[in-house]
Amino acid sequence: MNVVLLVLAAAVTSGLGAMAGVGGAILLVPLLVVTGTPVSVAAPLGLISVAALSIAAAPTHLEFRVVNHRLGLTTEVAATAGAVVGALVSDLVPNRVLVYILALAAIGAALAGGRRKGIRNRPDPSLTTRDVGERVGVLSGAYPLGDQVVPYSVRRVRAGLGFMTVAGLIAGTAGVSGGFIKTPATSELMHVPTKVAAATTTFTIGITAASALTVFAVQGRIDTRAAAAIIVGSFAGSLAGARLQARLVPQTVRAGLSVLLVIVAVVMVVTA
Amino acid sequence: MTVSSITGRRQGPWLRSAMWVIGTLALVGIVVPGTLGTVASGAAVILLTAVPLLRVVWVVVRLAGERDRRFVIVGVALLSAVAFGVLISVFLRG
Repeated sequence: MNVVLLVLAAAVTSGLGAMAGVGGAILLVPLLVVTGTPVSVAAPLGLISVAALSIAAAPTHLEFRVVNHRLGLTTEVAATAGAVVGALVSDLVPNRVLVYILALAAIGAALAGGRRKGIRNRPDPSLTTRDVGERVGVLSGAYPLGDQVVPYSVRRVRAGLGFMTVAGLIAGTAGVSGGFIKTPATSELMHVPTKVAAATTTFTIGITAASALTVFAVQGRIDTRAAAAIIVGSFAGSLAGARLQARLVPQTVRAGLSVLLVIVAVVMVVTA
Repeated sequence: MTVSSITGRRQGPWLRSAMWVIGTLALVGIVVPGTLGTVASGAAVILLTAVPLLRVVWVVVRLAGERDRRFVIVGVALLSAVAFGVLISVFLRG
């Protein structure tokens, strides 16, 4: 594998992934496979990209106070269990079947995100910047939107956990973050504002990736030189993408996410 | 409801530092040939894997500080799931 091309591919895909809150691996892994990298090598490299994006985007998301750690931990229990199982059985799943499942899920998520118009959670004039953040003991919180503060509550937690388990399974088997399922599920199903959903997902995909990577490391499936190239490219792309994502309005992020998911689905079907 | 004290003020700077350390090691791994490059690449991968999990530990400690028992249990369950996965993979490899 050409190191320069790996750095460039990781930079571009991570930049796009960070903006949409879905991770760059959903684009990087198909790209690597199309250019001749075996899936067994591409999957761990995809998760390296995911973990790098999660770390690089975190300081910006934390600065804007849009990460809900309690929500992240809760959904991640299901996702990590799925990721570990997925990584353990990844050699048994036929690649073509997995790709078609991924494409269908991506299109479904794009339709779910693109269907809704407007802002579900309205700003509350009685709240100030001191009210921004998550709440102790519950999954609700408030986030800043310009000069205003928007409160939100999390709904349909059990159904959300089901989607997170599926996202974890896909991450463990295919080496993609599962963020393209997590962000729409958190936003559309659990009624969390898109910015909070995207930032919290970026936090959790790092944990999912780390969990699956530990399994891959034990299995001896990580090419460390190629991984180093992916890390350098992913850090550069993620920093640029996260800066842009935090400054975009929710409708723009949602529309961009839907377009990106359709592109991903087409790429996957074509490569299959 | 009480606003949580878990913010990015403490977490952000050490994550940014970790990113620079991992990025530098990865760059050395690409540029420098031989054993040094291999060791640097390996170290970058190990740190990259460890940081998200250390972040969870940090959040769990902060939750414990806020006496938020419900989410401390959730965090511990998450770390246990990761540990269980590693143990299973080691067992299957053996």
